Amino acid sequence: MARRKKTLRGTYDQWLEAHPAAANAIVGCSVAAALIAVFVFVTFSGFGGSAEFIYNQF
Amino acid sequence: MKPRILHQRLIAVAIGVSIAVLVVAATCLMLPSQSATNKKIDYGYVYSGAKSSSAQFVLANMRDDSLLMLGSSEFSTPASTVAQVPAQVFGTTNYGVKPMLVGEAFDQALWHTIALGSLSRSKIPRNKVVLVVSLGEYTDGGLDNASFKERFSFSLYRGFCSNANITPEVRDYVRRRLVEQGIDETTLRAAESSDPIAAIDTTVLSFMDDLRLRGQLGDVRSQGIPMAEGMVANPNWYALRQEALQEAMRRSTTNEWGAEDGFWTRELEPALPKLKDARAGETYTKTPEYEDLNMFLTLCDLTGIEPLVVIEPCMGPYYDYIGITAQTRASAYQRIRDVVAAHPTARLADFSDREYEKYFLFDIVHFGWTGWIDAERAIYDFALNNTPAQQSFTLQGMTSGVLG
Repeated sequence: MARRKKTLRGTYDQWLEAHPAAANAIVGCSVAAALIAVFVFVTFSGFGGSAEFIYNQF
Repeated sequence: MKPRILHQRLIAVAIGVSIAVLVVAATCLMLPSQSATNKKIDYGYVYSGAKSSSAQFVLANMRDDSLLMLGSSEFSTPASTVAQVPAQVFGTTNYGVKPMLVGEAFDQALWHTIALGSLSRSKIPRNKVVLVVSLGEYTDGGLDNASFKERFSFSLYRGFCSNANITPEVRDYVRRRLVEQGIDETTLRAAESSDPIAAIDTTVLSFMDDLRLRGQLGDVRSQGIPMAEGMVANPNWYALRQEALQEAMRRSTTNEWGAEDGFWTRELEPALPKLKDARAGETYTKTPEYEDLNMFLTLCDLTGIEPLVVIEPCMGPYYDYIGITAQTRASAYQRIRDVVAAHPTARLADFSDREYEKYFLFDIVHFGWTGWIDAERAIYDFALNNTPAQQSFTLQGMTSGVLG
């Protein structure tokens, strides 16, 4: 009888089910990291910083 | 997903959000407020969009002897290129006038109107403001929306909207122009706090803008220079101009137009072959900039602030070369003069007749060595209520440019 090939998704789901605490930690850290990254980008990246003068006559 | 697991995931998300909020809150507590200041340091000459957009910072760092100056890219000229910039002349010797430069590239009369509207909620030192204008701001089509949006400041517009001295006519004009320049309705309504629904937007946008400015002001604080203190000296304009002329002759050796060597060899000379008559269609008439300037001066009238409009010339030989005739330019200068003349309290330092004066500009549009000295003399006289007639000496080829 041929063995059914495991998909990546199936392995991932199995692992999550087997390690609920780790899965929850990953979700929590991901959310925190994403929000902090947005905050850091908006506040400290220099986005919207000084404009350079361009010799637009050229 | 099983309900129990879903429940756990939601708790994990909530903990993640809480951690992020704690980090943001801790950062907020650590960042100095916009108005935090060090009175021994002069931030007036720092060229920065964050500084220019923070009315709190600008007001907190002005003193009784400060002079508010609004302008744009001319404030970016480094002292290493032109040693006569305000940071060197007023920033190193105490002449009793300490310019506070506000504005950067692409800031034009509409932006300046909003900035002054925000700043004039508090008392402006001397009750005076200097506005530097240049012909490049009056090109056909006006400022493109992308450049304006890059420089639009939610905080400044919010301050402008809360200034009780501003009439509905000026408010409506500014709002209409902001819509034309592509500022979205949600942002405008949030700044105006015009209805309860906008209150959430107001809170969020104000918080984010405050945090962004506080973060970026760190750079500004690191670029301040020691405040020039001690006995107030009288500037020797003759000596300063002689030094400027000598410096100019050292810095401009490769061309007849008087442009700085680095600018000439790197920027201008390589571009010249394809620029002959390239802008022959320019008229300086199809732009809202004149009306924006009029609105700026109307705001000065309303708030009781005395303005000095400094007209920065452009480089005559270059503009002839690209096909914008001296007559076209003269008409535009005249139109600016007419707008200023319609406001009795407004004064004018008109340098438009210096287009062909070598070394007056260091590139095609920005004050150079002698240009800055003459402009600074006009600004100094304006700040101290001097008139050219009161000066103790005259110089051939040097005028302060201040007209009645």
